[in-house]
Amino acid sequence: MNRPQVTHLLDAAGGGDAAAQRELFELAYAELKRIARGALHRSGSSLTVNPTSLVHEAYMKIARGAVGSLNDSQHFYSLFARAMRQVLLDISRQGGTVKHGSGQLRAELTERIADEARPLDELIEIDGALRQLEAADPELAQIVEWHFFGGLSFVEIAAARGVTERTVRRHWEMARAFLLDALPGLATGAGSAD
Amino acid sequence: MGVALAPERWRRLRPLLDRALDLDDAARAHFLRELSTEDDGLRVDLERLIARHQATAGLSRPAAELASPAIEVTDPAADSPAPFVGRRIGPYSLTRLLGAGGMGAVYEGQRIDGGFRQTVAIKLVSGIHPGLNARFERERQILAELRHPHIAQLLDGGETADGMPYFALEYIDGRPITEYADAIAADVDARLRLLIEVAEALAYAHRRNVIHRDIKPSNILVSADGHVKLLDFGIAKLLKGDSGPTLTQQRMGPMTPEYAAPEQFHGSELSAATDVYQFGVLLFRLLAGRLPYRANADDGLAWARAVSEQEPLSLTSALKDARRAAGAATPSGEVTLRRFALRRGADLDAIVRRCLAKAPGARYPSMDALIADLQSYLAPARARRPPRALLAWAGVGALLLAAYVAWFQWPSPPTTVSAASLAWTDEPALIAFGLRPENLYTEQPGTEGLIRQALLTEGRGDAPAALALLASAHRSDRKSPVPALLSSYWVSGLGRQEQLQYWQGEARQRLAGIDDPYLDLLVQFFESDVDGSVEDSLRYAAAILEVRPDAWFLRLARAHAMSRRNLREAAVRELQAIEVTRLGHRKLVDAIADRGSFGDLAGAWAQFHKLERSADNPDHTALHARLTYSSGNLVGARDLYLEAVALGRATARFDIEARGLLWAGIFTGALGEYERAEPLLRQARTRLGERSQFHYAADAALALAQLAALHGDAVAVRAEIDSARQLLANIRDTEQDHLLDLFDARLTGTAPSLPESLDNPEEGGLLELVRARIAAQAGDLDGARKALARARSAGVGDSALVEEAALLARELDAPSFTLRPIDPPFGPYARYSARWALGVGASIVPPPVKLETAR
Repeated sequence: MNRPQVTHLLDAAGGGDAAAQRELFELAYAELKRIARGALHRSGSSLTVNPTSLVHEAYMKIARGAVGSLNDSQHFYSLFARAMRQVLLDISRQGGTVKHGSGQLRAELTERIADEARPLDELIEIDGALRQLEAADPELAQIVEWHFFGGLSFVEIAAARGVTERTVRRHWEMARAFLLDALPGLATGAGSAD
Repeated sequence: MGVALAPERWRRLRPLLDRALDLDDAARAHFLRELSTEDDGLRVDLERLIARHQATAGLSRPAAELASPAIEVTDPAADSPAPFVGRRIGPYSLTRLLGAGGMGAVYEGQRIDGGFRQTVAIKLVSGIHPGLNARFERERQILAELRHPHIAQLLDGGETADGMPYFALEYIDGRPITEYADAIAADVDARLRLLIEVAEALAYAHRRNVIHRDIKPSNILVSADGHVKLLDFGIAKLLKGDSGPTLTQQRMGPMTPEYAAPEQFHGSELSAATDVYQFGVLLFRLLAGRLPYRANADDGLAWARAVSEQEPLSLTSALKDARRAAGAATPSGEVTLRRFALRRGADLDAIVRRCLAKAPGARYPSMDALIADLQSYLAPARARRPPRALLAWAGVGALLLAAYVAWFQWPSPPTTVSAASLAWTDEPALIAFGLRPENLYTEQPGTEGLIRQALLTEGRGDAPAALALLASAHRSDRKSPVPALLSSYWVSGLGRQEQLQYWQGEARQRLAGIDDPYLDLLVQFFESDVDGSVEDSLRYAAAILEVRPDAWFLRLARAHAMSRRNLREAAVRELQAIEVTRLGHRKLVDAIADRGSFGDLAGAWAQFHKLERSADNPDHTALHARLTYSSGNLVGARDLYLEAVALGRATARFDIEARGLLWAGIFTGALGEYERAEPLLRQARTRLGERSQFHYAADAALALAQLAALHGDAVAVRAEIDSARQLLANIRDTEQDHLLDLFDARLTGTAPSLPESLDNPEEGGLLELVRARIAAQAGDLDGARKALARARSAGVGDSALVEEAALLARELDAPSFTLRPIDPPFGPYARYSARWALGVGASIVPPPVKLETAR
């Protein structure tokens, strides 16, 4: 896929062309999966994948050459964050499967990793709660998708939506309260505070 | 999973929550009490939501981070890397883990080969890199030939038995450049010097069409002696991923986001300009103690966008930030910034911004141009000169630019002369080749100024900067053949053979449309001199001197050629014809001093005393030192060279500083003061290497090897000889290579290899001497003596190898050789240190001469 094609696709998708939207989504999804797989190979040994680099790599791949036109593209963010969410959940579900014990890969797990399977469950649960938020409040749900799954900063979201950063922050806070309310275990135990 | 609030319930709660979050604790409590009367359940829900809001845990890490364990889990290499210790990879056995980084783990490895032990760094790359082996095979030669004092050499690479890619690199004991600079609290100048070493290494690699792509502090180590080594050259390219269709086409392999250039985020084509950008980030980081954008580098997306879209901070605004944040900033960064802000901060900003331009084409066209600007910043003597980057940034047109540069760069210490008074016939550097304004054929008004400045700059021993000026003149002026002509001569002097053809071609092309007999002669002279066609160069120089009798450089060239043929009287006559009243070109020092060395010492002293004197002219001191040497005063010569070193440093004549260090070191050794000689030689090696004077740097390294041998330190001998080999690998010089082989054989007890072919039949003595050394190492003393006798009759006693012959004769109990003074001091200078081993170090100097030296 070359630069003009992506730009064209974005334009068409932005203009409401459903086929283009689907195509762009597929593209983003495929790209993220591929990158995630690449990151998986790259990170070896005792190294941790830098999650943000994974996200930015995906973003830059898709946005390559079209950065300018994407600056204010809500649409692109939506597609991107959605694709990111899908891929991360896919990865987590695979991890979960491993944890529940399927064959070969399990043998390679260390105790350390078994412990760390916990955040994967967390991710799947958050996704479930986010679905409920989508039903109750799509506006706030989108903030969560963009920020939490898409890795977009509040500043970027504010710019894309044409609101102040403070507003975005408040929306996030409210959304977070909703989600934590639906996931009481998260607020009390698991997460490490920053 | 818990139960989420129902949509209709949330729609009622959301505005209340929004309101409650606006309030402070007291007001909020009041607000909640007001609610309670209306709907008790609503109040309970709201209180719970507020409590959730106040919880610090939960949803505090991005999803990608939560998912990362899954990414780790499925990697089969996810076990600890320690098990590799003790394993064998290729010919290496891994002895310990040195560290783990973005691409995998690095081990210390040992290669044990016939009793010879070599420590290397082994980089084990995790993951799958399709096509890596094929790419490595393609690039192996290029990378292996990348030999530079500031590049950690790639020794080997391939795949382990279980398919894991590995690379073996020269082992460097050092620490990252940032850490080092902070640890020694390096000031701006010291930091820039380190950076120039990095830039020199990059310039060297770029000339061989290798780009680094992953410049960052952890890839730049500084060893204990304060010198830089770049690691992982070309490895990023080897590791670039699969090249599938669609978006993955330009996958660029591992990179470090903090230092990545915009084109790396966009997946566009990478080039030397990518390294220029990355170097710019490093420059910023090292000077400001931070990265050049305000975005959070840990937030990959925000960082990528900042790199692609935002203007970088200026160093000066980074300083302001640091002051505002008082205490939060890296202390050393703040110190350095404060320091440079007092000096020409804006100059450095211009350099940084030109490196960090978004468009690759807007950055420095080459590392050499960048080096020239950094050096001109460092040189206090050229304080008034705005770097070209500043002008380019300001959007000054090329035409105006050239004129402006010429004006500002004009002229330079030691003699400060106003631009207007400086004519083509006044300044030694301008007269050197006999060029006149009518030979320039310029079409831009600024070209003449650039050419003049280049001549002056080269005369001060800064050939790389002079070449940058000429390159700029050549680009902006499409007509003048002179910049290309001079470039072809000077690149050859720097050993940049790969650029020679280009400039010769450019010069010829431009000369084709010009009918100028003088320039035709000059081009013939340059080409024959570069080719080593002595007869031709003598002839062309004579022809030029017919029309331009004041072209003193050509007389000097003739004199040198004559003296090499033992025509010393003719050489002296040639030198006597050079009339100078003041110094102003480093080669004029040679012209006068050689007159003394070739036999007219009284005349040389007389000319020295007639020169216009200025107290801070390092050329003057260097000439004084040389004449003192020729007069037999070793101590006096050494002290004067030390003086010249200090003066060279103070007046930004780093050529004199570097050469002076070598001389001072060699002479100090000759005086038997080995302890004192060593640091001088170390500095000399570095400074000379930095200036691409690899011959001389190698001489210093061999002198250090000789010192180590005198101390009985075999490990150091090996290291110094290896360092000399690396330095000489930058250039080809058979004479010096043979000397090095003999040195190596003698000091390490190994056997030299026979020269494959002899360029010059007169080198028959060399061949026999090498045979003698081989026989001696093999224990065949009789054969060795016979070969040495043959070497003697072939004239080895009159060659630069006489010291090696004499040392071998001593080992073999064979008749000794006569060691004469070495005057003029022609290289290879390593042979001077061989006399230390013979115990006659001071014999390099002619016997003392009584001369009236009244001033």
